Amino acid sequence: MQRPHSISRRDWLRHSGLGLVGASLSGWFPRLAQAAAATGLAPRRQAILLWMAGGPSQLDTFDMKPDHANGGLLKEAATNVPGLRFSEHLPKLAQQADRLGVIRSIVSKEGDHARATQLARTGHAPGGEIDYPSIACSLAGELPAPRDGLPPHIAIASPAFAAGGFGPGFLGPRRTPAAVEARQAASEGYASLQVENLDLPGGVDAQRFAHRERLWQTLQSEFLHDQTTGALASHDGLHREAIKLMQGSAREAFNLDAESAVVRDAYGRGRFGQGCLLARRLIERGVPFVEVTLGGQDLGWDTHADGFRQVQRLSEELDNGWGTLMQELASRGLLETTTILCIGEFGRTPRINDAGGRDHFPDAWSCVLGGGGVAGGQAYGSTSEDGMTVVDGKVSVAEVLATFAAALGIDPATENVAGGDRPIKISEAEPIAELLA
Amino acid sequence: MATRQIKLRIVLTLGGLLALAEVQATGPTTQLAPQSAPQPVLGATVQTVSATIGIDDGSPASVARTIDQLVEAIAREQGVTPGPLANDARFLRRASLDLCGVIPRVSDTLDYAADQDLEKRARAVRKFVRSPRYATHLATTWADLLIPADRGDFAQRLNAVGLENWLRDRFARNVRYDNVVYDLLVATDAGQLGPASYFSAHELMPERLAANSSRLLLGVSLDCAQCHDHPFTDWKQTDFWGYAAFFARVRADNAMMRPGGATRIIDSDRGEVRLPGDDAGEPIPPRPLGGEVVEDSSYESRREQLALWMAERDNPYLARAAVNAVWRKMLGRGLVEEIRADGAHHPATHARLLDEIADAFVAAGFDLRWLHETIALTDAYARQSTSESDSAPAKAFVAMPPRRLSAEQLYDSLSRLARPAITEDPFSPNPAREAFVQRMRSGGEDPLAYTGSTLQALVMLNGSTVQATAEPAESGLTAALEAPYLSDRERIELVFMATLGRPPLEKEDHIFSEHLRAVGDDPAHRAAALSDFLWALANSTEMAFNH
Repeated sequence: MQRPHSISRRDWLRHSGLGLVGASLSGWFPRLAQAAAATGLAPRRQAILLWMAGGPSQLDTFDMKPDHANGGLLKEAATNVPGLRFSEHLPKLAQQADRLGVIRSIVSKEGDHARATQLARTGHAPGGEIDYPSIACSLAGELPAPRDGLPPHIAIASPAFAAGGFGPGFLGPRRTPAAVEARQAASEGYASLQVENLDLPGGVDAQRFAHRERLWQTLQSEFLHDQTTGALASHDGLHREAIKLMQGSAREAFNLDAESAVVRDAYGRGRFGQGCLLARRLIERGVPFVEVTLGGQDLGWDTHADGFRQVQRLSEELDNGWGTLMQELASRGLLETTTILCIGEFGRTPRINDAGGRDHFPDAWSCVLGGGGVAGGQAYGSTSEDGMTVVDGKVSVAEVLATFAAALGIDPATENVAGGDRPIKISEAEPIAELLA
Repeated sequence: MATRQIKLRIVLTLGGLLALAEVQATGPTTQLAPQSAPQPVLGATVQTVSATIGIDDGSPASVARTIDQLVEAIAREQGVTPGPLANDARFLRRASLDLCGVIPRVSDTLDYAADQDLEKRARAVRKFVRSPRYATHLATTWADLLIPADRGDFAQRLNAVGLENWLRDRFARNVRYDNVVYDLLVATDAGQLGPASYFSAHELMPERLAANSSRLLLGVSLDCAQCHDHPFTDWKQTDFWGYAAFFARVRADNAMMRPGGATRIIDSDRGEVRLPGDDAGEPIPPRPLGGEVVEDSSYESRREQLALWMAERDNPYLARAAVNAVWRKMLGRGLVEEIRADGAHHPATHARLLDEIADAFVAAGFDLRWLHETIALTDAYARQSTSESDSAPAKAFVAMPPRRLSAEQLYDSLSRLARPAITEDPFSPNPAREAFVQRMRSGGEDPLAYTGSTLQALVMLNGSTVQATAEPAESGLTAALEAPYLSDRERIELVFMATLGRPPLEKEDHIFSEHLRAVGDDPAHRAAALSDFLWALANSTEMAFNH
């Protein structure tokens, strides 16, 4: 895209359509796009972000140190990739390690939950004048719209006290994710998942809603006549989309009762497991971006005390949900077109504290990419024997997010325009080439 | 018409508490006497105030007339014909939403339509800007701009509430605008939670305080110059950091922090700003926009020096930025996009008009109430709406573009329908309102940009707020509608008047009547039908916009 000289950059941004600026000039992206065109593969994949609230322990999951005093009580086990080893409590993922690219060398600076969460989810430390969107909101807007009137971005079981880093920021409310609330079952039952306000209120059945809709249609046609553009038509259009979502086949996507007990149990009965099952149903129906949070309603991965027992339990929950999700996507031929990122806000201290847990640690931690677009079967970067420092392949959060974007087929240098006509890239960093398939 | 008006009033009187508020709102009961002759109430055009006053004496009406002469002259130059004025009902709804943040009561709409006095528009506007809701609405509007509250952060919301309370007190007393700004910038007193909230919301960071205050108080976008020379204007990076240097010594006095206590904002005698990435470089000295470097003084803190410069009578930015902001809020777009010191604002089409109004605003003693009243009395403000918000007439201010109601305006308007009016209390914290506002908030600051979402539509379609508005058990209006002596036709008219401020159109009347007939005589079914009416009206696009 050649920039015309006769108009200002501001005008150019405005007129280039929705404030998006086309391809970046960095070397890898055109190659990627060409490769995609040559293979006939859809250049843009669907995305799943598995958010590990609280900050998971890298030393007890994907970067174990069995020969060091910092290693702790959990055992390491082989995966289906020679030389790549995970915790023994991640057996399903271990069998699919060839589709996983582990990053063991993230270095960040934020050690406070709220600030680190904002950094990990936006690529920017908090405090600036710009209200940065979560990476999920940025990327969802770049992917093809779903069928069936489903929302383009669905967030399942998000943290109860989500602060910065979860919303659309300067992208505006239109890019807010549809929130699916998850409630743990009282006893041994399945967690229940519901979209806020998707159900008719009490006392209003389908027939009564049809009456209401007729009255509403009358008001709309008298007021709007045949307008199809402008703010008034947008308001009308969003209401119609919402009604379609309430009534159409979209609704069926959220009905987990349609799945067999065997499948539901394989994912795990909790919020995360059932959330991963819902994620699979949504990916099948073309939803471009799904987030599932593990540990958002309680302490989650914030295991300061009695850490090994907690991490074992959380690992099993993670492995059942995510491992089954990968298996089911693969058996449906969807894993190649779906990219997964599993990340929390920071890692845990290698040194085990007096309470048998680990504390916040941003100096050297891990995350995992998986599925389509990812060069699996490898661990990128490494930490010292005691786990205290990164010795090889140091990366920033922004680089991780750029790699996620690139694996999806989105140029991370794509710009959106914040207030004051400021062009803002999806990620300021370059992707890690070695992790891209 | 007169008979029906009385009947509607009686119904409302039966509403108990609701009636009390209605009578209070409309003054002495003698006003309830029937008018002598039937009048063409709804659909009558607004009388132009400008026709009745001939000299510019600085009063809102006379300045409004001057404004209109300029607006129309500019429109003519551009070959645009001024559109017609909106009818009474539309005007009253518009002014009530803009000045009080809520739709008018049915009784006010009917009174206004029935009023034959040429001065009625001036009287209605005067009443609005003197109501307690004016101060509340204005405080909400300004706090939203001063504190980026849509970050969803709990601490940030508390900051916004603190600032809102502080502003409301000043707007209610109509404190001079230059004094409000001065107090906001220099306050240190722990009792003044408002200003402390402003500084802590921006984390006491010089660059954030500089970016926000220059944009909102001075109407200048310096943000880009934070990192590099501004690409589209003459602002240099040193201009931004020279301005930011005024905030370099702001500190929170943590010794004053105690449970429930407010942060005290103090000034250190140290602290400098430097260009980004130049930590070892020379400190940038404080310098007001377009001015000379200011020496540090032992008598005045840097903040005081900045506030004194801003509040100078001939400061080229402050008054213009205030006028431009109020104009943008009330007419959808500002008279200019960028304020320039020399009056060569961008774009130039309405630059002179902005300067004229700003001069009159200064002459009126930075009186915000005067400013709102003046703009509300212009014909520019009273034009019929157009859905083409980017058209030449809309850009020339001779047609009104539709603006989406803010989340607060929508909630307050719905709750005016839902509950007896007297329990409306914007001063007490209301978790339901807070929850609604968080979900329904608009993005950005452009009043013409529509930034809703499907999820917000679901909040309206199925959420508890509209449900409470529509359900007979909670709704003051549906209770009034069940009064036995109203005909169904009158019930339908009342529900339209209460929500949209107008009677139903023929087709609407037909469809709604048909629905009411179809449910039969069962009281429960009839109540359900009336709540269906309210649901449909609450969800209508006409309700969601100020037009």
